[in-house]
Amino acid sequence: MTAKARIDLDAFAHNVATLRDRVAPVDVMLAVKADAYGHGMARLGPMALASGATSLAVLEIPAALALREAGVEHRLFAWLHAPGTDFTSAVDHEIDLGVSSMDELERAGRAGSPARPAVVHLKIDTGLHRNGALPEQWPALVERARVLQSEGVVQIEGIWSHLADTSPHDDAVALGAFNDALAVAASLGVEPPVRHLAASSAGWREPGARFDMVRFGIAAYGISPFGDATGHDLGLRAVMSLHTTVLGASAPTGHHWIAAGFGDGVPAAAVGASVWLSGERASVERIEIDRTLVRSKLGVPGEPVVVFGEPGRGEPSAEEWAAWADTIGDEIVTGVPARVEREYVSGENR
Amino acid sequence: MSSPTELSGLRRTARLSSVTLAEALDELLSRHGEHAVVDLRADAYGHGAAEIEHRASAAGVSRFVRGPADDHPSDVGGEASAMLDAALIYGLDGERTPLLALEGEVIATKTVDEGTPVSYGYRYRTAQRSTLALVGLGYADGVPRAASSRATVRIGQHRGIVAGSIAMDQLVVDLGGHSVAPGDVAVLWDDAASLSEWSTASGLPLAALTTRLGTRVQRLWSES
Repeated sequence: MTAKARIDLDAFAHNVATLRDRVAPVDVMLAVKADAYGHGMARLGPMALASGATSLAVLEIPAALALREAGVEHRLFAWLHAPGTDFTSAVDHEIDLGVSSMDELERAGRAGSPARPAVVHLKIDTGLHRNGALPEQWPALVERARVLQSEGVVQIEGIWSHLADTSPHDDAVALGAFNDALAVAASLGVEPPVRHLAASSAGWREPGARFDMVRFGIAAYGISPFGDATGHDLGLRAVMSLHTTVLGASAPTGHHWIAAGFGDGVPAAAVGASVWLSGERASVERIEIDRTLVRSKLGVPGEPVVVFGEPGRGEPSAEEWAAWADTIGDEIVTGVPARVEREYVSGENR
Repeated sequence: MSSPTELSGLRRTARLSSVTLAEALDELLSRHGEHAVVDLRADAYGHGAAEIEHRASAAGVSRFVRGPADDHPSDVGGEASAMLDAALIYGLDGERTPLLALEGEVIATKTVDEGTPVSYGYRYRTAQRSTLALVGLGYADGVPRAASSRATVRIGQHRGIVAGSIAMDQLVVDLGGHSVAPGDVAVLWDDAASLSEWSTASGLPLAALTTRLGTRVQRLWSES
């Protein structure tokens, strides 16, 4: 067989429920950007909502529109916009907009109307220096939003930011900057109901950063946001596992080729990696575009192989592969190309 | 009500040159004649197998390697030969112009003071008062995170380093004293030197860089 990514729906539901319980009564927004981190937004988005999340975050408006078309009626949040994006369709479909600049705010105002205002979450840059208004730009952005709200074309639903997940100290500084931004907004008469700052890392460990909502992403996919604890340690379960089989192609003595390579999402730069074959770890010696050479005395052609999967079963985890490739688990799962079939399993079929 | 298809979202482009491909196919056919083989594995190394096969067939190629791996070794002259031809066809030998150029779009810019930290982990700080350009490409698109703070990106006439960690959907370019504008094209690679730089910066083989490119990256053919 060729490589296949198995998506364990029970594990995903378990993780979302675990995260909800962790931060209750604070709401959980589940991040399903990048096609749900490579797992498939169409399947996992609705499942997240059925498992305890109350809203979904995508990256761009088209992904939110796709969820609306699929019948999702919950809050949807889109926050990265191409320059000049017309927000009309987002407003028509009641999609919440992350707004980072005066230009975006003005376009949101033009797309809104008193009958249907543009619902915006104003973003303050608390140190990451990607998007978001700088502190010196913040008062003018808030004031303009307040004016547009008074005209009825904008509804200020939230204030938000991203943390840099650098250190407890740096996150505390960023938390202070966020509180400062909230205070500035309050002094201008703007106190929206949904303040959100934390993602998986601070959402799990820093109750003071949870505010009204936590945007959980990677943890829901069973991968730890921390360097000092695995997803397994946190009681999370791996959602994606990458499967293939032993090939019949001739290989050096004591070795086998398996049918998955860097074209299937096996990280090409990994050093010291292993796969799960015949109930034990088999070390990886060479990674080509569609096959990988592993050292194993046991394997036979056709036998199943797990490249990464559930560490609770002994299989290498995506986090281990991340360490072998000097990256983070997020890149391991999003790096499995869309052309690799996703097989969704639950209950008896797991 | 407007329909979802009216919105294209951020521009993320893999620009493919028909002229470069035609020249490579000429060279392949003059070397191997009817034995010429085009390697289409992994969606033609990320270039789009259907279009590559169509164009190669039109040029006179009749043999293709598609995988899975059990098929490929002996009947086409072995892995080494197929790899060599893939390097020729896709411009992945480190010397040819790559068939595929990777471009993103500047979403926003901001001017920050010297010593400003950028992106997750604050592993990068600006060396001077700088323009930062936010570009809508990240590792979910196949831009290798390992190249964070190492590789460079060209925006207009200026080249700047990737400032800090490449994120799932975004990266930041430090342009020093130069200014750029939202909507500007950001070129990660478009020639042998820039592709090699991304390979060195990430530790990935050239072929892995194109093969990783995700579905949000639109493959666009330039006919001239």
